Amino acid sequence: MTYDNPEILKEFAQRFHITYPLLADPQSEVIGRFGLIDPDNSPANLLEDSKTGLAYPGFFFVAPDGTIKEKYFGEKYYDRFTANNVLVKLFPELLEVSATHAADAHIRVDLKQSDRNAVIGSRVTLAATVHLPEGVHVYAPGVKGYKPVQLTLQTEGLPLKDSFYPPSHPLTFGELDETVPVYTGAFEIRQDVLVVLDKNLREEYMRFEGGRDSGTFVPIHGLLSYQACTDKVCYPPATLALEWMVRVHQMDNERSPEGIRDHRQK
Amino acid sequence: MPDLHLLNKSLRNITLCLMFLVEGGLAITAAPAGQTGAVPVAERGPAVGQKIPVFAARDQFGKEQTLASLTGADGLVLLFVRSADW
Repeated sequence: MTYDNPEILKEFAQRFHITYPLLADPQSEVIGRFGLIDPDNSPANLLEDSKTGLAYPGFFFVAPDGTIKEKYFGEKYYDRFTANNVLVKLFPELLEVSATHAADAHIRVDLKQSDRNAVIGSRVTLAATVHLPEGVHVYAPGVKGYKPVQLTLQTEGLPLKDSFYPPSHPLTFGELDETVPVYTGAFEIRQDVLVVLDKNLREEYMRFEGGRDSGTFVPIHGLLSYQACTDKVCYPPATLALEWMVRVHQMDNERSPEGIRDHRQK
Repeated sequence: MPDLHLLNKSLRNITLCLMFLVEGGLAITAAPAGQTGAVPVAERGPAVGQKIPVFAARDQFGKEQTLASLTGADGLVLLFVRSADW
């Protein structure tokens, strides 16, 4: 749903071959009833000739009776969940393995991501699915006296958003009379990252003159640190280098034809 | 995109309405410091567990749509975007 008139949505849907319903709320009446009108009408937030009554961008997942089951809103208009990000939050099993993976003597990691392509301002989910051999455990966050598994991203200007570590389970060492939180088998760590226009990306995009581009491959590097143990022996703490690749695109700059645009009331 | 078979399995009976739109034209700039009036993220729209307001709106085909006409057996994904124009 947008505050555009129906002609704008019709033209936009034809241009992008969109067949699902695009809802027009040209008076921002429904947007207002939802409590979603963005009051910031400064030039930093909308074009000077554009009408006011913008919606804050975001998703609702709604049950058939109208009850909201989940909602996803970003802080700024350039912090937007991609549709794929919302899908994998609702259905994590949809995360697909990227081309890359990593392994060392004790663990194997499949790298996954919600989106391989994203426009600037997208919030993308990256995931590391860790597979441990039979009989091996790693320590979970909150452990005392051992090194917990931790995913760190070196994103250089790409802000980090929500991170997710799955529930751990307790492991008791009878001889030490000690119980600690661990992961065994397979578990998945997820981290959202925001694709924004930092200085390096900006230089790339200056080469494009608007419209849809072929994108720029942006590597996102991470480190997975952990300590693997069996019930007999603990191996030295280790760190595994990870890399995801996101193809980042400029936003579409093509506007609706002048004749059907909405304008701000003077 | 996710694997389509899995997607279909997981999205069975859910209508995905108003997916991601591309929005351009505005340079990405930080909001001015000291900007007032922004609604905190958690307060944007009704909370999880509440019901959405009753609404009706026309789509790009001229059809009037409501929650009842849009929802699948398991629900609806409803997306608000800023503009399809600029």
